[in-house]
Amino acid sequence: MSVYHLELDSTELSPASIVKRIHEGAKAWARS
Amino acid sequence: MIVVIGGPPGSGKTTAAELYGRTRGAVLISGGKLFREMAAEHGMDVVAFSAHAEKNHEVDRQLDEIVLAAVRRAVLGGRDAVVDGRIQAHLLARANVRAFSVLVSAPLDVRAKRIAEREGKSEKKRSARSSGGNDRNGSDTARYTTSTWRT
Repeated sequence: MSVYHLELDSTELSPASIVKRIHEGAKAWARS
Repeated sequence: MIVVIGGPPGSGKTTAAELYGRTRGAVLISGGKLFREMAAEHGMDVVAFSAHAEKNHEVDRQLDEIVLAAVRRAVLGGRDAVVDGRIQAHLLARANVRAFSVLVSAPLDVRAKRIAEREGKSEKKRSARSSGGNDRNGSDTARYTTSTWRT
């Protein structure tokens, strides 16, 4: 089982978009 | 909140971690930077120090302890932290540190180009650097699969 909660391809997203996805994912994970 | 961002060399994990730290006010704990500092303390470059670490598991144990101590300092200080490192997500999981874990990836050719650009290498040397990246991956694999805390 993967240890990762979120997997992203940096060729598909800008650094700012990656950070946004991480922040949104982390917020949802923290609430769970 | 602890966020840990992993991925291979050139994947963009450090860029993401630095930007996350700046924009979210989180303490940046960079496994790569700490490893480079350890290499410099030993008078070696990263490739040589990686080879040294393959044979001396104490290097990785020390690095793990430094990373975990920095994470605990951030938690005790009430700070958010973002940890940047190839395998630190596994380290934190093994240490029962609650963290949101992210894997950033990119195709090998893209990563090789980024590494070459980052290190200011010419197009002619790029393939050699790509091989070097693979060598580092191979060295990392050897280290990570034999280090005792992971057994």
